[in-house]
Amino acid sequence: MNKSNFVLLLATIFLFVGCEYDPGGNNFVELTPPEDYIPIEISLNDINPSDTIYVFQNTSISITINSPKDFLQASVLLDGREYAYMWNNSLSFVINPEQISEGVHKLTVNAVFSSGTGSLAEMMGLEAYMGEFLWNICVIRNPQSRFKLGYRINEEGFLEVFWENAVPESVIEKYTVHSVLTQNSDITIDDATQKYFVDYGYVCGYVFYEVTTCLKDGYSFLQRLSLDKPSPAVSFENMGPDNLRVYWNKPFANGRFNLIVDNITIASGIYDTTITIPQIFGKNRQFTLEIRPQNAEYDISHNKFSAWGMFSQGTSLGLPNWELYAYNIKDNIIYTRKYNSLVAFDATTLQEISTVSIIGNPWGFAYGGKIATAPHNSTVAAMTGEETWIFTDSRFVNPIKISPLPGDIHTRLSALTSDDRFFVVQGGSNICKVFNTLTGVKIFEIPFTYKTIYDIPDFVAISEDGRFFCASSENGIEVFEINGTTTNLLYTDTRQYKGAMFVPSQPDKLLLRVGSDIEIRQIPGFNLIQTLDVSANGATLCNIDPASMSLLYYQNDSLKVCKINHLAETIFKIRSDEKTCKMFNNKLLTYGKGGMSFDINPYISH
Amino acid sequence: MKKLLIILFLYYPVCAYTQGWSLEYSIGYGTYKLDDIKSQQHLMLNSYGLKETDCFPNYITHSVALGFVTGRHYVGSNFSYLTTGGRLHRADYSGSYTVDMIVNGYRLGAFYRYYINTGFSPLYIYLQLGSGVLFSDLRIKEEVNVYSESAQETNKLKGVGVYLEPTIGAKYRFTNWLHFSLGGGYEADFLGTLKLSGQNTQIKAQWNGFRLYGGIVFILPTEKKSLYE
Repeated sequence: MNKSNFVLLLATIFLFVGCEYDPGGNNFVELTPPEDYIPIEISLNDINPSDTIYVFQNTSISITINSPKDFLQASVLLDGREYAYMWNNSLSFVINPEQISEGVHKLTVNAVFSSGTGSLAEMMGLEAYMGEFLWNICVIRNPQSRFKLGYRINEEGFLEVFWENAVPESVIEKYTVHSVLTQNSDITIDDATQKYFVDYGYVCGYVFYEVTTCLKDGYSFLQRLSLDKPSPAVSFENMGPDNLRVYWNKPFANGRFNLIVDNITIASGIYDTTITIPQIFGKNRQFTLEIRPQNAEYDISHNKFSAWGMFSQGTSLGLPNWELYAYNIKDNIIYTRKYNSLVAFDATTLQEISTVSIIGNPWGFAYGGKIATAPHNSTVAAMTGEETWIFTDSRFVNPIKISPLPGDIHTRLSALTSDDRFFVVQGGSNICKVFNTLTGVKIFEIPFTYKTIYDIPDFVAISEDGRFFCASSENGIEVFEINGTTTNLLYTDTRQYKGAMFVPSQPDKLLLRVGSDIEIRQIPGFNLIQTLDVSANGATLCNIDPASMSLLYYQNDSLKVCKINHLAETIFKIRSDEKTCKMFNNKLLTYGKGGMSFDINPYISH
Repeated sequence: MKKLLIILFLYYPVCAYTQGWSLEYSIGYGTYKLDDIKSQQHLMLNSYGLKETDCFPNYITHSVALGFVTGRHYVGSNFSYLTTGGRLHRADYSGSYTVDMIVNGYRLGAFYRYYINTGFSPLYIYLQLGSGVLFSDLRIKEEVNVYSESAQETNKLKGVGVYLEPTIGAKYRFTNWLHFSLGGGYEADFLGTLKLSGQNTQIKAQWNGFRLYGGIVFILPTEKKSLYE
């Protein structure tokens, strides 16, 4: 092969290679280019993007994306960092507030949709629609601990429970207040801006509240508050013999009050904390203050409170009930009984001076009780259930005992006279027994006709000097003159008597309650000296105070005091329902109620 | 191709002998099975709306042979160039996506040809059997232009196989040094697995198919002898 042929061969091979196949063909598809904009809807918990999403707890976030074009993908960014990814048009995930710092964050949803044209660019992901929405997320950790309750009294005086919330009002649907002790049912407050609750049902005492914040997303949290304020205490102010002021502390919140005295309501529905009421002497008064809400419609069983108090006008001598008294004007001593003991009180200070126990068998002094004092010396006689002890004075030594000579509540007369005699008329008896106080020996007896059926007041009496003896009853009267051991009937009639007693230190004057009058008769002529018509209101004799020479009697609803020489003028009056009181040295003394005493000296008109 | 033929006619010397070296150029037409490569192209149809616009059609072959002719026998080696290709294409308003797959075969082998007298000189019929190695390369060129974005990527796969081709044809002796031949045969390929970056793939380049040749043969005589001597 020559050179030219070789070159030709190489050229041929070269040409072969240059003849490489060139593929051809065209597949152009006519498509409509996409529109510039399409509507896209991205829903996140149905919250507008302009609103803020508040996260208090693990919060479920649901994102739904809708568009006329096919959804391709979406990413959820939190503060620009990918937080979740969406492969379809809905996604639910949970935001844990513990994993995100507190404060406001940006949550962005970027969604990509196909153009729907089917173009090559779309298939290659180079042609799509993109939509972006942005929400603010505000993370508030543990809102319950930042939900704080407090209380105060509002300007109107009612309890106001208020609260502070870290949660903004815009996400609060309502508040509920649970207060079982002041409200019949739970309170619902639909106004999120209202951050207080006025409890018209609270006045005082213990109460607890549960206030619940209910958010619009269904989440709720509650806080509790309890308080305990004292109930009012009842106090008394003695405003003299006529009036008593009862008052009590103002409760913590407004209240209304009922004041009940001895089961009788004397004030109902009052708002004041003080009330002035009439006094009643000789009675231990039980006061009950009921405290309720000021508005009665809030009354329930739990908000009813009571306060109690006791008040008695005067001073208690600390005696048992149903005590009898005797007064020695020479020593200014009031004698009475304390169970089995004979007790002497200073009639001015009412301080106990001395006491002696008189134990009987089986009754003793406790079941006797009649006491008599001599008008001329210090002698005092105490009748037990079996016998009578006569002491020379308040030292209570070496008594003379007259036995048997019992005395009791029914004993009609037990009296010492200045001639050292002791006159006794037993209950139901129409004989007056007379003893020598120095020897205890019975001297003589005085039979009489009219014996009373009443224990109180005195119907049988002996003058201080022992000269005149009077026995009256509802059927008549007999007045005897005593001369030595003999008696002489001075006067008798058959009027209806309701009491009789000789005037102390004036043995010739006899005070009578007869018919519709109080009379003072001059003995022995039984001449009328004074009379007081008590027909309108009646009257019950109590006694004549030897110290003040004043008569104490009960009329209508009061104890009245008048001078014995001027019955018509009442020098002191005190409201009472005690008809059996005595007065010695201007000290009123009750028969019952443990021996209440009241000094009328400051109040009597001289 | 016409230019090539003109050049050959103008510049080759016009002397030939019945015994001597021969140089033969043939242009031909081949059918190519290339099943694996076609399958590979079809696999890509699912992407991006591509459609097959060209699928490895039958195409022209070029062959050169260098041999020694002596009497009825003709032995030599030959080199053939096979080429075809396929295209997947998609275009719309947004751009285009083209996948061109061009496969070339470089066949180098030996052959033996035996001439049979037809009784009509100068026409001879011959039988030929050729075999050798077939170097194939597949170039996959992807080009994307979408809006302002564009990308291009080309992958090349190469493989080596073996071929066996029986051929029957006729030769017309125009002069002692210039013959014309016309033949047809069937090429059977074996092996031919393509490799990508040195790694075997599942694709085999097997160009199996019929071959038609038309060529000219130049004889470089070594002594003056009749073909029938």
